[in-house]
Amino acid sequence: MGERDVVQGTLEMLILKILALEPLHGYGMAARIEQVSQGVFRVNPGSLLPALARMERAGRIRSEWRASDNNRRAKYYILTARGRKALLTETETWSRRVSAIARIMEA
Amino acid sequence: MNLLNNVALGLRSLLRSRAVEDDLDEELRRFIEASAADKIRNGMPAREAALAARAEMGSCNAVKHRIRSAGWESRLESFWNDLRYTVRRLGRSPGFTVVAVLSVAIGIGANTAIFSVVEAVLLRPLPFPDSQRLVFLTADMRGTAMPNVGFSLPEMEQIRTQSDVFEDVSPTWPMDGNLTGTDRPSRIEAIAVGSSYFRMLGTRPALGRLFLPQDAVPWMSQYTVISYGAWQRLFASDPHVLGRRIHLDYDPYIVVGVLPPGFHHPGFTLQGEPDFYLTGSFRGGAFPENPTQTGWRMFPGAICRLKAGVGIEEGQQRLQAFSAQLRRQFPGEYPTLADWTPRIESLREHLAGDSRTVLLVMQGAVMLVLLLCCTTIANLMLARASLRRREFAVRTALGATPTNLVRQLLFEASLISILGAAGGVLLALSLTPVLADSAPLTLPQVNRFGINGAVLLFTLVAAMGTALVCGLVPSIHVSRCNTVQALKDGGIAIKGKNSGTRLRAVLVAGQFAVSLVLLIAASLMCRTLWTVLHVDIGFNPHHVLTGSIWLPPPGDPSARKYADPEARNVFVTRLLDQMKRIPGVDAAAVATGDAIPLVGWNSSPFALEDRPGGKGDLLSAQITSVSPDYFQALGAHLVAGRVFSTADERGMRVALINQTMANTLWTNQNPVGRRIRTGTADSPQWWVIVGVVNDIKADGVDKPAPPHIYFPIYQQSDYALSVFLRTTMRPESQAVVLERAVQAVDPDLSVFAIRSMDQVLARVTGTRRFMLYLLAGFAVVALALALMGVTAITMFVVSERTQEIGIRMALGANRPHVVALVLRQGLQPTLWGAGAGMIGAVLLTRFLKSFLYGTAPIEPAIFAFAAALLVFGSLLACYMPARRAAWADPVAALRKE
Repeated sequence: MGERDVVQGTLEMLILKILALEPLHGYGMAARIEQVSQGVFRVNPGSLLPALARMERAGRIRSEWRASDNNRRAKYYILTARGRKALLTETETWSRRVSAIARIMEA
Repeated sequence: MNLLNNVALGLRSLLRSRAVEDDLDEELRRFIEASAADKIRNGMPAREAALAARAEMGSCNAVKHRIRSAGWESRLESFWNDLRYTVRRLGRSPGFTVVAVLSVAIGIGANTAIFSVVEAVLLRPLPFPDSQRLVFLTADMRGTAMPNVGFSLPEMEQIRTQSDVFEDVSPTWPMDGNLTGTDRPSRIEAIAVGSSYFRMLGTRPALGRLFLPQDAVPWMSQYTVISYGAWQRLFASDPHVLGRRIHLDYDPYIVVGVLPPGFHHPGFTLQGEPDFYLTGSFRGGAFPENPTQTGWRMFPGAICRLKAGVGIEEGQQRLQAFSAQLRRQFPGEYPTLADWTPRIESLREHLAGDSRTVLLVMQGAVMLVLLLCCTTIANLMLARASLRRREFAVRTALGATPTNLVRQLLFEASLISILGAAGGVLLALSLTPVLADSAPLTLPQVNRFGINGAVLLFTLVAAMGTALVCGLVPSIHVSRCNTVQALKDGGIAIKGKNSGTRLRAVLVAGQFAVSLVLLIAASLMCRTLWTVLHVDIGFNPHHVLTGSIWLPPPGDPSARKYADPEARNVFVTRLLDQMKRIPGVDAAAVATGDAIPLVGWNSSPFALEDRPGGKGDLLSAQITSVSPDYFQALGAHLVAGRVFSTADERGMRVALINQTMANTLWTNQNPVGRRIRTGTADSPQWWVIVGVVNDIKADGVDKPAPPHIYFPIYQQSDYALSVFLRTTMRPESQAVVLERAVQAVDPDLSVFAIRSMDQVLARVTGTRRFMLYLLAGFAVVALALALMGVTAITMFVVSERTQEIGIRMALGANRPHVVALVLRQGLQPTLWGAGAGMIGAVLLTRFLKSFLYGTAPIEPAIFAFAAALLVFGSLLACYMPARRAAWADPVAALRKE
């Protein structure tokens, strides 16, 4: 486990959150995650792209080829209704766990 | 909704794989470009940025593989690839594949065939509604050890109303008779049943109606129900058969219904399927109006339905209590010594009868054969696996897990098993009808044998088991393999330690053990059959035709055609006349029905004049009546005195006895002239012995001939007759001629069970013959498999030790020495297997006891012979590879890697 990898099991939740704002392509997501986490997390493509494929099969996101800047096409990923629902539940679960950890650590 | 989407994506990936692959490549390319662009924006030089971006991605193939694995279709694809690879591999070694698939096909085919019988007879419920409540009721005299004595009419009615066990009772009374009223007279089987029989079994008619309660009229109902087979055979499927009038033994009946084609009477009958069903109240008319309690036990058994909630044990207990009650009610009629007790058993068990053991033994034996086939295949796969040790080692080094390797081996085994199972089912489809007609399985086939769902499930399980056994054995070896060692010594060990030879040798030893047991069993049966066929049966069965005739008893009092003994004598005389006129006939005879050798048997009382005793002194012997040429027709001969002549028709009563009777009762004395007595002491009949004939076997071939008394047929005849023709022609061809001769005397009569005495003899030895063929077949298959196994092992050992042999020869070993060396290794599993097989045979041959004759289950000569055969066969099998090794060029051997 690398130092800058995301917390195990949270990659999908992070992707869902990122895509809730706007559709992005693969590198765009990686860059956004690094940027918003202020450099704490760094996702490598070997983990990101397979995760995107899994989520697409699960129906949480869907993909679309769009023309990107410099007139080349890139594969954009868009959140679906199912994905939105999943984001809500996973956020809730995550908050619960974080509070629990916080309580233990402060005790 | 998502499922559809998922399926669509997967299908696109499968069908338009090129486009999907291109998209994947493009996506990865975009990522790398975007990443490089970002790095350049942050100040990195262009070339360095490109390299860094690529390095971050890592292996593109690995990433693409992980992306692809997200979809279900990748599993499908890998399965398909495995399949293609396995097919290619199997195709490259056709010898192995053919042997393996054939072995599995034979093993599974035999198992499926026998299981289809087991399922139909022992497992499937009877085709009647609520069939587990159906039982068969009979009664035994437990005190005098006489089973199946039957019931009288009052007993049956009391059981139905007072015993509180049954919801419904229907007596069943098999009978046969002469049918007239169709295009030709024939002998048919009938059965009398209670009027509630069809309701109890839930049967619906195909035409007309079945029996109703109102058919229980005095004596018997004039209505008859016919079976579907009878409708086709005797009435040519006439759609207007209802209302047709026929006669059974001169009693008139009207056809009122036809049964559906799938209906089979669930019980034993005289010979085959009943054609006519009759019913009535069985009271009045020709039956006594008020029958006594135990005067005539006319019903041999009954089919009954238990009351709801009453199990078989509870029912039996209640019947016990009921018979105790009867004893109290009718003290004179139920002597406690005889201990008449009703007994019930589940109808399905009753129908399975003795065949249960035979079937289970056969299923066990055939599973052994499948195990043998699996062992052979496992052996072969092990050999192949050990040849591929290096390949496996390389794969493991490249990252294959043991699971991957095992999966591939199991795949191969599964493919072989499935192909073999398919072949096996086809084999079974052709074997099952043969089984259905074979000797020890003469069962009433209420459930039809066939390959149905349950049998196919069994086949599937057997195939899976086969795949597991064949696949796991080499897998165990592979997973225990030392990878480094395998890579180091080029995949072939010097001393065979790591090559699985030991495991294979154990497997082959096991095969030899099983082969020896089967060989010994087959040899015992062979000896038995030989002895049986050479027993002196007392007559010459070749060129003799026999048949049976039933002179119908008086039903309608005005048609008492053969009630008068004189009328019967006239018939016999005319018949003999007709038979003697048939061209090619050397001798013709008529006798009572149970005078057919080997199958006819009775036990009748008589007393001796010169040894009078009290009432306990009644002796018993088989008593039959014969015409004068009987012994000539059969080819028996006279030992003392004279045979019957036409002069004996009138006058003094004479008798002939057989050798056994003469020896036991008048040892060292001349029985000619002595008198014997039949009938009671108050009204005796005296017969003078005029001659002694040799013993003719009566009850099968193994039992010794019983004491036998012959009376002239003119002095003591009967309604059941048998006829004998000694002819120079082929007996089977004379059947029609015989029938015509009988009908020339009385056109209403028919001859049935026409067969040659050779056929009778073959029938009687049928079961033993069947067992012999079965065991011999299994033994040959087992031995062949074992010999193949030992040859394969020896060849493998030779190739393993080629270098070593080369060294030895270079160091001075001569050819015989090398041959002996190889043979020693090849014979080891044989000897161990023979040893284990001997022990197994000692333990197991006792199960054959009931079939053996003239030989004990443990016969040292036969054991030794079988073992010698095994060792000799093994020596032969190993000799070729050994010789090839010894004659090989030592230089080439040394050079071989």
